[in-house]
Amino acid sequence: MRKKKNIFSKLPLNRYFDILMLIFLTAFPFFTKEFRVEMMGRYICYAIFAISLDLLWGYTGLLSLGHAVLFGMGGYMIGISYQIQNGVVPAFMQREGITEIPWFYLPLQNPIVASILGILIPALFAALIGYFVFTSKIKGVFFTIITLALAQIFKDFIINVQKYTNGFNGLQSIKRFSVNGSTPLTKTTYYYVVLVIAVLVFIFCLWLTNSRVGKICTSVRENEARLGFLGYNAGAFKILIYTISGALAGLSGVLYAPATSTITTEDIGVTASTMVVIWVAVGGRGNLTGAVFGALLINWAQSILSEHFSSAWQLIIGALLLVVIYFIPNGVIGQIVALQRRIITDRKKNKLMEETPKSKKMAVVK
Amino acid sequence: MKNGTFKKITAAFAAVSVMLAATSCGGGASSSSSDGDVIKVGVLFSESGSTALVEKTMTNACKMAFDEINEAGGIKGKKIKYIHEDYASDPATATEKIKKLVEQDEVVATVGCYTSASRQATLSTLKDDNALLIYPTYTEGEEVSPNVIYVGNMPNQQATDFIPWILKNVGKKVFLIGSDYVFPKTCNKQARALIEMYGGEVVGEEYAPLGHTDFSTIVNKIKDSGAEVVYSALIGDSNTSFYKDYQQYGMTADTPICSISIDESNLQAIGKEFAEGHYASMPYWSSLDTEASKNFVSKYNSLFNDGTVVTVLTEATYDSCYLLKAALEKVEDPTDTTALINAFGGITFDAPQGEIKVDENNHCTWVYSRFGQIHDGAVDILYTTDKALRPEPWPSVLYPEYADSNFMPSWDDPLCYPQ
Repeated sequence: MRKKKNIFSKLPLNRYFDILMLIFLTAFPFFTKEFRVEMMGRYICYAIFAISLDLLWGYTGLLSLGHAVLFGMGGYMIGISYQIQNGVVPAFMQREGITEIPWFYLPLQNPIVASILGILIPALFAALIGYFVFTSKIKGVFFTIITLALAQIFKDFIINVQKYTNGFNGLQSIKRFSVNGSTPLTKTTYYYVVLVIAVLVFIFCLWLTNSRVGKICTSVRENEARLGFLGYNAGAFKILIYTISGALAGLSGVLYAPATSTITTEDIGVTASTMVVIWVAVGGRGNLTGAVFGALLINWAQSILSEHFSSAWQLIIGALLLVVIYFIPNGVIGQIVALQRRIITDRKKNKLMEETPKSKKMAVVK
Repeated sequence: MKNGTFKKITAAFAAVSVMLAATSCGGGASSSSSDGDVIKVGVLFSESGSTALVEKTMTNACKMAFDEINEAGGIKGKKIKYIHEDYASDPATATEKIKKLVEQDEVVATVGCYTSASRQATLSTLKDDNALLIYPTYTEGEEVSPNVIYVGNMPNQQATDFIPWILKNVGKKVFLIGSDYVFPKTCNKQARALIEMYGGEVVGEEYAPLGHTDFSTIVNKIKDSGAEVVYSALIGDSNTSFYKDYQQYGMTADTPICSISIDESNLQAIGKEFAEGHYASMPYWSSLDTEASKNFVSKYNSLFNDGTVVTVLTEATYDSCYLLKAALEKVEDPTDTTALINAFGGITFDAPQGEIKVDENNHCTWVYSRFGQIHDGAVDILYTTDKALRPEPWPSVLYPEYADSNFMPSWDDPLCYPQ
């Protein structure tokens, strides 16, 4: 009885932090310039992307160094959609001698269909890769290496099929969801659309990680062998969580491309994949808050520092990252959560000490 | 143990507070667009990332030009204040930074961008905010945006004089190679048309992936093709490997490589030994033996001792700044972007390469055509046009239909630029 009360009377500190961040982000457009709002909108897309990695890495213990592949698939779907509006063959295709829109691009003409495909295709791709990797019991660092290779292969693939993707130059002029030639959403409206979707994703992930599936995923991270002895098929759960993570990464890409109006191969390769790992590592993994906080903090810091120290900003960021990783390996939010947990257990231990008779207490101390 | 934990916590808080301090001081200092006696100009080149090394010389050129303009009294008594932003070789960051320059700093124009990818990433912002970008890099053409002035040369300005000369003096059997990218493919398409027009023969065409470094197969293909000359549009670091492999697999400068995409910094990387005897074409070479060019090179070298060398990009960026100055002097109100863009039509500048002019109609620039043979790591100029050549964004050899409309489709044609 008492144990139950102890846990539920105190919401973890990071949940208060979530609420604070939400209030801040909601109020943000009221006290800043429009282009900062646009920037923040873009970083919220990154936050969704970071959440998708946190599900995989933080909760399930599967570090992916190729997560930007799934993000890029989403972004490219919507990007292509805006290249082929009204049946016009884009200049980069005409240059390569294509006179008609290829049949496999036709469904993408409608941005809504493109967005749905931008979520489904990365999910399917993740499921497929997950199927091959996890049913053949590839574990730990080998999964990481496979995803790393995947990131490089996917980037080279996009560059080499430039006939269809405009290669290295990427896709431009992606509108903020104008459907059938209607005027695109304004920057501020789009910001709130992204924010609402981010909140929904966050709540979904909160629910997921506290559900049975989430608990099993955490056990995969903690002790996969024991989970197997208990009769669970760990592989199936890993495929499931990779698929969900893929869908969310795709969703973040779908939202991101219109926010910047451009998507290029810089957004999908190894570098982009490493960046998201850094955000989650700095914020703290396995509690969702850390992923969001890390993504927002690092991107803001990068942007503001580069405005003020245009030649030394990367050094400053690098030094700060080293400090965080070295002194607080759990990440900023992860450290706060760990501290709170320690305080609670300390208090419990003290109570236990007080309740035990003196003679026994001596024994405990000894 | 307790002490250690305490230290860790302190360090954590210190780190967080430093980060927060850095972000918050950024927010505070960012609204300073009220001083009336300066003209703000953006400079957008990478200081970090994969193309930072090349773009460093462009940033330097801007510094040099704007400092000179300010020392000479500025523009109608107003000093130029340039704001440099680093887009980290990343197109998405370029989009963000151009927005920052235009919407927050309210610059009158921006000199910047190196890759086509970064230029194209800025186009929709430039259009939405009606802003101006002055783009100094040589480019593949087949794009003209109403919000961009292209100071770098178009492919026709390198090829129309170079190719007949090659066919006459070097050889008639030409092998085309390039990186698998828009720029080389577009240039080679034009080269092929010119070669056939002047009675030469294309004996092969090969493309290597961007950043490719193993050219053994391609060199063997060149050997087997019986080519007398190789016409190259390889870009970036691939050149270094290509020139080395070319010699290693038994080819010599008797079958010379004629490149339209190497400059002095590539020559440095390739090495004197491997580049000797080959040919190259560009609007400007730092070996140009005129008073203006010699002064330009020696001033640059005395100002910047950071390992960069003067290339065609340095010169074009320097010219961009002076063309902007001339345009700013022509307009009443520098913040009126439409008037400023219109003011560019027909302005001239006595550049280190000679007198250049922005075309009255198509936003591109009349520049010289120069080529020569590489000797001892520098280019011995063999040929220079008498005056600047007309830019043809849609070259007349391939698109005769545009020859009467300033070598471009009409401004409202969707083919004009990605929109």
